[in-house]
Amino acid sequence: MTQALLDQFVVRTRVSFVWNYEKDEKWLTDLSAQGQHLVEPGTFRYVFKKDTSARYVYRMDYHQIKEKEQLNEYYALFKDMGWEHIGSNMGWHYFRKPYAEGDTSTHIYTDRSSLKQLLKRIQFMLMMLAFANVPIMIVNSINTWKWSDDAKPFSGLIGVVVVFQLVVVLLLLYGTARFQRKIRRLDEH
Amino acid sequence: MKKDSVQDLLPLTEAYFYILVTLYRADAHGYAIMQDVEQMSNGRVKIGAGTLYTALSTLQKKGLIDFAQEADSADSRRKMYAITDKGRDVLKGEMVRLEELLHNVRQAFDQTMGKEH
Repeated sequence: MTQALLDQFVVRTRVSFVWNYEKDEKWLTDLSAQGQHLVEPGTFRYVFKKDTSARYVYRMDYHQIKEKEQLNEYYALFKDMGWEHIGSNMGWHYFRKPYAEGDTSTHIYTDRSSLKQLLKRIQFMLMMLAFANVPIMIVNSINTWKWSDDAKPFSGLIGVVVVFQLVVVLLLLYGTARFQRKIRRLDEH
Repeated sequence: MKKDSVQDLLPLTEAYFYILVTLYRADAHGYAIMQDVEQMSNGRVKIGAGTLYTALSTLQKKGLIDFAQEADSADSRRKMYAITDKGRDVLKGEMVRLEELLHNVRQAFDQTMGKEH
């Protein structure tokens, strides 16, 4: 690729948690206002294309749609409503729409019932991930203890894995609680 | 037995209510439903893409709407929806509920008319 072509793109790294997805939307929209538009989303790595003549609003949606036909229907509906699908990553779908001053239809969720369902969907995913880790953690913990005399370095390694898993599970449970708070706040309104 | 799972949707939010009203009138595609609702409510009720997709999926899962029989499936990605009998019943129930609310508030306003200062 020529340098000129390479200069068109910027790669950014960002570590963010799913319970802050609205902050991610704001980050992407703000960058777009500066002429850098997300073209490829990733878990930590995001690719932007430089273009000062365009400006977009970015939104994210969470749906685990396995069937290709259903997924295409989903994208088609968004397209009809003016949202261009940029890319997807782990169930998160990124959309953008040209920015227009005073545009009141920049949110993809406009009612409590559907927003609540979105929050519950994400929360469910976090809970499932947390619980999926628990049996593996138990097995690993047993092995760490069992091999602590015979195979010290090996048991040490598994021990590290267990600690890492514990951190992950705690984060997932924290995320579940954050979403529970968001859902409760919706109900209180 | 039908009310049990539909109960989570009641009372319907304005968007869900208006989607059923639109489909009660005629079968429609997603985007057209959004436009009809906006027109019916004089621009007050706007339905976002995420809400619309979720609403259509949910209403379909609860049996209130379903895919319509399309004579010409030119574009299979754009599904057409139709209200079901269950959907009509739910809408009727909501109408009765809203009429009760409206009746009572109108009465309250009428009764206090003379007492206004």
